[in-house]
Amino acid sequence: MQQFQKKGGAYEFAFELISPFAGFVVGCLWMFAQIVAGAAISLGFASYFITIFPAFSLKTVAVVAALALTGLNLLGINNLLP
Amino acid sequence: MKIAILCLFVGFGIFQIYPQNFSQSSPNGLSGILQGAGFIFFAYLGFGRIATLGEEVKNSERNLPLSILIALIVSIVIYVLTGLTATGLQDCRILAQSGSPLAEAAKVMGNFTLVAAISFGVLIATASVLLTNLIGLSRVGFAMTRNDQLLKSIAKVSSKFGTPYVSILLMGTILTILVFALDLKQTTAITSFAILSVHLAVNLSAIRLRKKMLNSTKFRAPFYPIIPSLGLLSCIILMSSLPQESWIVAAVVVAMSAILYLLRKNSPTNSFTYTKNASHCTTKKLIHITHKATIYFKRAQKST
Repeated sequence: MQQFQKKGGAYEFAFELISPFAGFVVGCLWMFAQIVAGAAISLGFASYFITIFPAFSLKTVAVVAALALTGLNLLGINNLLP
Repeated sequence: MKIAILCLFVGFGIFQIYPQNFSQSSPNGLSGILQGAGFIFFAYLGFGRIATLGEEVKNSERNLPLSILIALIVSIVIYVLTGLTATGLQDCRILAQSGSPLAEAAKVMGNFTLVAAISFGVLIATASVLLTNLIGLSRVGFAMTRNDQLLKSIAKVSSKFGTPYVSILLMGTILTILVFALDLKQTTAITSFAILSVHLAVNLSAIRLRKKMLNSTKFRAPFYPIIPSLGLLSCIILMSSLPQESWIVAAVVVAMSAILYLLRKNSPTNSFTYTKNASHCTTKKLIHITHKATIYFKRAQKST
C-alpha cells in the first residue's frame, strides 16, 4: 500500500483538508469524470474512424472501442505486451 | 507521433488560410468565448498526472513544477496554432458541427492523402489516450479503498490475469452506456464540468491548508488568498458557461455519492472508520511539495 500513499491527488486533498465526506464526493466525481472522458474519447475516435471508413456508423465504432478498452483492461495491458 | 501529425497539419495548412474566416473575431460574443473555454478545459485533463510522479523524477522539487510549466507552454502553443489553422481553413460554423474538425479543415486543402494521414494520426492518438484513461481511475480507486471509503470487493483482483476485474467491468458497463446514450459535445461538457467541480474542491483545500498551517514558518502561500480565490472564481465562471445538462448530471453524481456515503456510515454492519493516521504522511508530503513549489515560483519570479 505504501506505493499509493500520495497518488490520490484531488481526492486526498479534499479528504485531508476539508472532510472525509468531501473526499468521498470528490473521489466519486473524479472517477465519474474519467469514465465520461473515456466515452468522449471513444466518440472522438469514432468520428475520425468514419471519415476514413465511411461504411461504419458512428455509434457502432464508438461502442466497439469502449468494449475493446474494457476487454483489453480485463486481460491486462501488460499481459499482452511481450 | 501525435505532435508530428499536428505539425504536419499546421505546416501545410497555415499557408492556405483564408483570411475572410477571421472577419468576425467573436461570432458568438463573450458567452461563446467562455463556453469554448469551458469545453476546452477537457484538453487540460492530463496535467494533474505529472504531479503524481514526484517519487520517480530526479530532483523533483525543482524539476516537477518546471516540467509542468514547460508542458503547459508547449501544449498551449500547439493548441493555439492548430486552432488558428483549422478555423482559418474552414468556416468555424462547419467545424462546430463536425465530430472530426481536423479532417474537415484538411479537406479544404484538397489533398486527400493529407486528410487520411491526419485522420489516421488522430486515431492512434485517441486510442493511446483511451488506453491510459484507466490509470488515473485506478489510482484514486486505490486511495479510496485505503481510506476504507470504497468496498474492498470492488478492488478485487483476478487471480488469472492480475487485474481488478470487478472495477473494470463496472467501469466498462458505465462507459458503454454513456457512449451509447450521449454525443461528443455532451460527454465533453460533462467531463469538463465534473473536473471543474473537483478543482473547486482543490482550491478550497488550498485555502484550508493555509489556515491549518498559519503558525508554521515552513509553509507559505504567495499572494494568499488571491490565487486560490482566483482559482475558485475561474472555475465557477467556466462552470456557469457550460450547458445546463452537465450541471444536472454532476448534481446527480454528487447527490448519489452523498447518499451512498451516509448509507454506509449509518449501517451498523461495517467498519467505516476513517483512518486519518494512515494518510497522515500524505499531508506532510503535500506540505513539503507545496513549500518547495512556492520557493521555486518565487525564484522564477525574481529571475524574470
